[in-house]
Amino acid sequence: MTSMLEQLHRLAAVWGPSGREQSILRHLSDAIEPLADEVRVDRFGNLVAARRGSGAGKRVMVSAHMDTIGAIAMNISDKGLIHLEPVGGLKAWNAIGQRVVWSSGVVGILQHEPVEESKEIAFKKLWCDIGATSREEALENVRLGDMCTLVGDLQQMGDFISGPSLDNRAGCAVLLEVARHLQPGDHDVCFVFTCQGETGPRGGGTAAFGVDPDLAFVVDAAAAGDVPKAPRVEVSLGKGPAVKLRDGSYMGHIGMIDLVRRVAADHAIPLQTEIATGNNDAQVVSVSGQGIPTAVLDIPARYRGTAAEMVSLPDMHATADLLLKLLASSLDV
Amino acid sequence: MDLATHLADLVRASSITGRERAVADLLLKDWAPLVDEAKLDRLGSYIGLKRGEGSASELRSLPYPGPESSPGRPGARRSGPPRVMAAAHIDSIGGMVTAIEPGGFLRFTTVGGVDRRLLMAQEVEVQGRRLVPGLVGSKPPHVTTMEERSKQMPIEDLYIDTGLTEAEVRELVALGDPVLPRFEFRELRNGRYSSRYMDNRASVAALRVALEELQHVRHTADFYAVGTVGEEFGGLPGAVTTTFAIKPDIGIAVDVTFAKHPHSETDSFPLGEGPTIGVGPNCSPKLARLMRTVAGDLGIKYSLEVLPGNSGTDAWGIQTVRGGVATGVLSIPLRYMHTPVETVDMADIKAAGRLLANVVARADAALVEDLTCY
Amino acid sequence: MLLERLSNACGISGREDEVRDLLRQELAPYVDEMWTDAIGNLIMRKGSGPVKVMLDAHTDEVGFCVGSITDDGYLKLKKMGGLDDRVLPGRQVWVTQKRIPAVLGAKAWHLCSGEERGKVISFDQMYADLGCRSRKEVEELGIEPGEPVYFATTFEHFSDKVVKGKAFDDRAGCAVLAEILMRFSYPGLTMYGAFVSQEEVGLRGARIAAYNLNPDVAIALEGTGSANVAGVEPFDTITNMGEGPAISLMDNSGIPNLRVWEQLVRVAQENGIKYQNRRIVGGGTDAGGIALVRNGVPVCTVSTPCRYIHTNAALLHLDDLNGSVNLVHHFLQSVEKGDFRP
Repeated sequence: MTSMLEQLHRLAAVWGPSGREQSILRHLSDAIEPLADEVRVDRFGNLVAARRGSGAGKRVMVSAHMDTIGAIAMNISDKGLIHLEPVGGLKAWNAIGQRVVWSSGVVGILQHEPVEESKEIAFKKLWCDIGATSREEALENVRLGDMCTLVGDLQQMGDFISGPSLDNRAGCAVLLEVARHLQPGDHDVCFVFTCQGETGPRGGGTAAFGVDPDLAFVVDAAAAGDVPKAPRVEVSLGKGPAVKLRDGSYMGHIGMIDLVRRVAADHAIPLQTEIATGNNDAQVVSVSGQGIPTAVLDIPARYRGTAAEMVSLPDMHATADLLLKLLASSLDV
Repeated sequence: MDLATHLADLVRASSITGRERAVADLLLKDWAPLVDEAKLDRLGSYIGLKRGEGSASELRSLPYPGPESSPGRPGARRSGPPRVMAAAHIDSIGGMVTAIEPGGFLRFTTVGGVDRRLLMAQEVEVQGRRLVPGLVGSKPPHVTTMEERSKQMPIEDLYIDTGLTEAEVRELVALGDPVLPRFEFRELRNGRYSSRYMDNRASVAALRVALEELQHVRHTADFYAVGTVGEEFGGLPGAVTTTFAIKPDIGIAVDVTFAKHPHSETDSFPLGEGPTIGVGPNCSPKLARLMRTVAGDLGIKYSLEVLPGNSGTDAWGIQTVRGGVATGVLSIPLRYMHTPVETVDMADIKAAGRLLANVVARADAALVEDLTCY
Repeated sequence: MLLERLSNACGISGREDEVRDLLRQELAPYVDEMWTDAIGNLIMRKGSGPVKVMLDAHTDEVGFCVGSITDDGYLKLKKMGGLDDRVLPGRQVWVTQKRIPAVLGAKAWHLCSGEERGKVISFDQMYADLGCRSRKEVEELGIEPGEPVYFATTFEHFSDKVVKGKAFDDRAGCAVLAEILMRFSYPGLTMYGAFVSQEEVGLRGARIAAYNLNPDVAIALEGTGSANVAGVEPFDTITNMGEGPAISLMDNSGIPNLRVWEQLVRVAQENGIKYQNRRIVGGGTDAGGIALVRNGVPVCTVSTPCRYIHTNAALLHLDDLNGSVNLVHHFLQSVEKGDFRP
């Protein structure tokens, strides 16, 4: 049996930027198949794994996006340097000097034109060097439209773990952990790993249309506010998952938020409250069909969008624990 | 019930986006005599059904979603009488507590398009365990530079001072609690009324007028009076999900628009001279034509409001649900939008409600069929 | 030439009647069925094979509508779709479907200060002049707020292969779709030609069409920007006019379905069809709306390069247009043959 940490190591190493989730989908499918009654891939490319309940309960969707940020090849110069645009929220200043890997497995370095001031840094001035000396040579390994992602090992630092892709492979690992420990119960539970959560987000709505749940939980990684000059967010690492009250595009369903708070309090699971900017799958999930009450459980994360994102393992365990307790409750909203 | 009293009740209820329950409950109670059936849906929108003559429609049997097979060409309509839906959003803009600081000062952010120019020194109430009054404070003028005074203070530098101790505040207030403007519902001269939340309670009141009118005007179409949640922020969840459930043939958003006052040059309309009828891609041309004809027949004055793209109302969400809906926009002119002193003319509310009711009365199978013929 | 008639036809978002009527008339002999829906999409069905394919092209063009009429008889306009202020002053326009001529005036150069001459004339200072003397006179012409106003550009050949006209976005796409419907049949497919409305204001018609048709696969046919012109670096040209149809890589409305994208590339390479990529992530197409309908629809965009898109007059190369037809035709054949399962 794979522990959650081992699972996280595996998942974080799998290549899968937005729109290119085939590999991560295969990994997740293999991992969840023994834990589900039915596994399918829907038309958008989302992975749906259903665990049937007794039929007396609700249909619940628990989702996490499986894609990561990256960059897409837009132009290749005569000298064999690849010019790119970001996929998802990869910022130019987090990309400089980073090692990346392309879908073919070829490794490259991202670098930037020399500039005088940091405000001159722009994605347009970046390139990826794969060691090709001509356009033709570059094209043997990377074609226009191919994507690359940041590369790095996962480092464990006590309770903390750091590396690229923790947003949202940490969320995916939590879902697998929940599936592992889920007891037979009344509710039908659909574990959904969505595509294109970093761009849009896009996958959640199409997944929800197919699953048609009574309610939904979305697991993602949220920016913590516990580092110098961070935007004011009352979320820190090591204090448990955060229930999201709102972000830039979504207002949390008050009944679902109360439910999450109640269950967390009943089981003494630490829970933080998050008011953020940005967006997440919950917006598109909640407006699907005739409306799906949706709550977001975020794993606090520092340094998102870099090759060294950071999360707390106890936070991940607490998130999985909270979900299990929720799924064992009556889920009356 | 007197319309002014109903309007006063509506604005007294608080309902920032995401917390619309108080208004929805008010509609369940106050509109019960006017509808055949009503309920609140999963996201909290109010749906009231007034059946057409001979109709056996029920809210309980609203078609539920699922990956249904393709309906193919839209000619294959569902059976039953025409369905007209009118949507007035029941949420309002406001603020939300984001942090409780040492000293008990509250940091907050806005929900929806709050006019941030008016925040400094505003009297507010925080909806915690009880309503906690406060003032929006900031550092005083004599420690502010001339440069700072010529610009709007960023909201991150504003805070709410309740006068209570930190311990008292923590007892009463939590993160996410709504921050509402303190207000007075005032009757001005000439049938004008001023209050917070006239965006969009004026339209909600107009829906009530329509329901009252339909008590004595015959109609074969089923009329769904919908109080939608989430129009001010969040991607129109109420509009799209109620439309998905109801599957209307016609969806009319009733909202507010800009009324003329000094320094309002373009895109504003006279107060007290009737509602506006929207024209543009978000408004089905044949439906707009019908609304104009009905207004003409009833002697109701109106203005044409040109909406060249997103109308900024629920109609934008309604129009593209499932296989498309013929949409219309009916708006009530309002001065000082998104301030605590929004001002409307009662005559415009009544005219809008009457117009809406009579559009419902004209909806029949032939009209509905014609709406998809281009 | 159908492209000529399509280009000269007028249709802003929500008022695409003329374009629909033209397409109905031209294509009636070639298709099995036609209908419209609540938003004005014109859908044509050809064939009834097991695999459903939707080909999408939008019928609306960027333009204006009447915002208000001044007491002196001028029109204040509103933009319908994205338009750069710098290309508007001094243009000739047609007002309403009746094509009443008017001009977009601007203050005489001679009367402007040095500083003014350097600035862009902002849209709120522009107005359309019909030559009328009063509001009443304008109203008597049947002009009221909301009525469409179009660029008065007439299609012409600059050479054998390069043509000029308005609205190539997306009459080029409509022409490609029309040609496919006219020339080809695929017994293994149900082919839906969806001439959709209101793309320019937010990809509106396409999502409704896709919801109703629920196709197995879709291709959006567009006219896209092309800037292989003086003063533009090779990386910034978006697409190169004359180098064939452009397959989208990614834009701000979505990431094309990888399998559909790869199949288009494969089909182009196997059949020796010159093609290129659309090398910009800005801008959106109907594919973005189609992809997210219901449980998702696999979709990609194929565009004909057009220089000076979203202005009063654009250029396109007819070989690029024909290349788009060819590429999509071979793609459809591959779907029909079972080489590619959506």
